[in-house]
Amino acid sequence: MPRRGLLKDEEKEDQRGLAEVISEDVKTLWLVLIGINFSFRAGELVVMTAANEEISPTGAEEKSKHLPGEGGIWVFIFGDMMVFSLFFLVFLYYRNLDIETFTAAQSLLNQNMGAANTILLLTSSWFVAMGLHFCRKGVTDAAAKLFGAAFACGVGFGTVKYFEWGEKIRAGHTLTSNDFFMYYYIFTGIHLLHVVIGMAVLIFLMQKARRGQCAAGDIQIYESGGAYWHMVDLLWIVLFPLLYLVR
Amino acid sequence: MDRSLSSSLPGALIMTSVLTEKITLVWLFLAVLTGLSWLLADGHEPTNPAGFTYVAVGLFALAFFKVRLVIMYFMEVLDAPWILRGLFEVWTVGVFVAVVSFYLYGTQI
Repeated sequence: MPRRGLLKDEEKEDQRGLAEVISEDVKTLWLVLIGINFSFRAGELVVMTAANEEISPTGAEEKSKHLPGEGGIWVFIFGDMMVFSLFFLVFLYYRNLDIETFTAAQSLLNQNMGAANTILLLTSSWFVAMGLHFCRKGVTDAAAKLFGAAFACGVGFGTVKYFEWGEKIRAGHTLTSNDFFMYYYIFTGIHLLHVVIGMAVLIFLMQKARRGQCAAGDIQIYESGGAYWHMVDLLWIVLFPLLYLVR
Repeated sequence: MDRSLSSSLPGALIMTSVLTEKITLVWLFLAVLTGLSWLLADGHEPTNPAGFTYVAVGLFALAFFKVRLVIMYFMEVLDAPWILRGLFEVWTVGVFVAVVSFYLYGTQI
């Protein structure tokens, strides 16, 4: 009988704990939604102003300014960066609530794989930037090869991630193991989704360059696709120290 | 015919062009900074997180410096209209300050 009473108390405790967790998560969700809304509105304003500036330059200095890509892509990129910056802060907030668990779980990660992926994405970004450079010069054959090389780096990134996740899952560290691994899988998973979308964009750019398309309107498309890929790279540049290095 | 003339250059010329571009230097610098942050984190005992605080702030500073290089040189925001550049400059500094503050005083904020 006393055991049953004890269990009931524990259940109540659990329920209270769960209610607190849910209310915390609802708060976080609101924060994220407000952030997304704010960033998209700010992005719209900036792109409209920037586009106006480019159409009607007011001085010699303004003429040298150039908005790379289409206006809409910057709204998307900035919005995405705002969402990820909230991810960084949410992770750090929960890390401070349980530093011991987070540090212990982090020591199980393979830093070499994280570093290898950083180098792979940096190199792919460089290939894309050089590809754009050659498109502007009209050397589309070289550009197509460079976009292809960037795509190969993306495949490399996915392969490293596959082995890294496989290693962790086989060792029993899954999404539900603890808060650290939950954030680790969610954030690296959302980032990987961005990589996969970016790889589809790279194939499109490669095909476009293969067809020799390098008119002014085409350059804008290369710039937009390139900017998106660079964003994927820069998000990983912060995720790497956040998840793998900082204790 | 026109296309094949304009889209093909000898390999040696392409190589020279690749190596002399500023973005190649930026890429090399970024790779060196990545190695540096890796070494910085590796040289410290994981059992002593308290002593790691300065290293952690240094790692975040390096990361956001790299982020700024990618935004300015790879995304070409350096030569974009001032309002776009300003927005990204503010984002980089603002998120760096917020990340370090949350790292140091996360639960008190």
